[in-house]
Amino acid sequence: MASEKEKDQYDYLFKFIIIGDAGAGKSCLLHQFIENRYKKGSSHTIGVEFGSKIIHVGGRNIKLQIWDTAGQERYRSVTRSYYRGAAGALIVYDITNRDSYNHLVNWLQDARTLARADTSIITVGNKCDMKDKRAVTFLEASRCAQENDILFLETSALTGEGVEDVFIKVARVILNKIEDGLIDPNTMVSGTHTGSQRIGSDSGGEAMSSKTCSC
Amino acid sequence: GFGGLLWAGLASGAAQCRPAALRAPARAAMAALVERCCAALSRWRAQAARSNSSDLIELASAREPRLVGGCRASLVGAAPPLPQPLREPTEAQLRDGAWRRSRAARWMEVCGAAVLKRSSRASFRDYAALEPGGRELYKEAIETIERDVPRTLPGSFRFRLWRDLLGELRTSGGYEEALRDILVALVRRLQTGMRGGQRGYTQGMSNIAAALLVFAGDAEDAFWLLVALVERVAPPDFYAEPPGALNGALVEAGVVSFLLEHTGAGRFSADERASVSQILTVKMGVPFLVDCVPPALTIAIWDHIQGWT
Repeated sequence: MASEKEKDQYDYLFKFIIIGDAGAGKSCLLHQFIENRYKKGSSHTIGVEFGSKIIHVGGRNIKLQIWDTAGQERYRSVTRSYYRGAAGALIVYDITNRDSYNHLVNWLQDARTLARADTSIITVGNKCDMKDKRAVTFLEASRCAQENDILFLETSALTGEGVEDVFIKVARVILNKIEDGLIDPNTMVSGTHTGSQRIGSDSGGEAMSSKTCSC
Repeated sequence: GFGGLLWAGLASGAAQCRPAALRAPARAAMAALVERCCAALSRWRAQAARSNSSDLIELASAREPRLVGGCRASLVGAAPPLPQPLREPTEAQLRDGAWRRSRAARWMEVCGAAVLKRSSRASFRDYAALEPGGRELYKEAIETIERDVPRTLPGSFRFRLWRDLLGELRTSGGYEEALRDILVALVRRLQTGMRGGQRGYTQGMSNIAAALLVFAGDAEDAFWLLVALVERVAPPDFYAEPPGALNGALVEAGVVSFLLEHTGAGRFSADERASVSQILTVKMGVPFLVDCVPPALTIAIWDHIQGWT
């Protein structure tokens, strides 16, 4: 099908990871982004899930390869290997759950130590439709993000508010870094399922290139 | 099929806790099996690259049923190869409460749950009744359980049958309360006494508990079946607490990854090997296949529980 072919045309491939406490809405956020609708009756994630979508940013087609992780702490032993090479990281908390916000620093540390040194990170305050149960103010989270030099947005995976913006914002920052020469796109390591040819060694280097994907 | 054999081999490797310890003859036999497995996985990989799916198991089963077959014995232990073809129950049987209870009664005997139930000093109700301050003591686990119970086997998930059967249950207080009691009791059982502190509630266990509840028909027997699966059937450290969280599952994933690396002739990148092994061991192993493969297949495999004790 023509649309099938079109789907695989992209200039860059970025690997993203979604992390954060259990029940913050990570899987629903991913589902809303990919399917443009809320996933009713979503189950807890066991291990890691995967999704991808092509977005248009700055005149480029960018394929996002997104790894959605289980939030329960013990699963960090499983999910940590998926951080490697991630160009973008979404740290999701639930604006109605103070604990999930308090744990941001732990997740931030994980992202900085396990992904790329120059990973672009965004804090996502999810469930912003539940205003009457809010336990973390926009201002507080915004300040915290500034202090830690990371991006910040609030979203609702239920209504879709802000969801696409999150992914576009991070992709734009990465794209800027590439265009400013701060990141060499050829050094970007992708995760599984790229179908692109392998370059480099066992460290898992895979080419991230335009339209050379063999899929 | 390669499934049972592959996994019986993996089990022997996992039992020795490091891939390198796989015995030479076993390795040679498995090389051929994994070769075939790799061909299947390659096809699946090509499809996966095209798909946007955010559900890896669904993707895997849609593209390559044999890959999912590879998980048949992922309820490892020293499992003998499963008989082929497996005898799967019919949907009518699965929907028949009396038939389900007869299966559960048999599982109680063969996996040791009946003995545990008879010999334990503390009853299910003792475990389920939180002592004063208990909620604080097991805060993290209980909060996770309470968040997971309502989203266990949700209707929109893979296999609708589980949800139908859960809805038909006539346990007092509804199945959600029964599920919560089972899991809280499990946490206390695992955290107290001589078995102390080695294992804990792991997301995915609620799937097992729900399926057991559907079969046993009451929370007490479902609880003892779950205890037997977690304590006696699952490989050591499979549900381990941090530090070394889920170490048993990671060891198995390491074995699968090792086999893919050494017999797959470089057709898989390190990342791909990590992904495939994660699906086979963690995603399907932790919930004991519940909602990962069709319910009839899950039950057909559970019927071979006796080999693992």
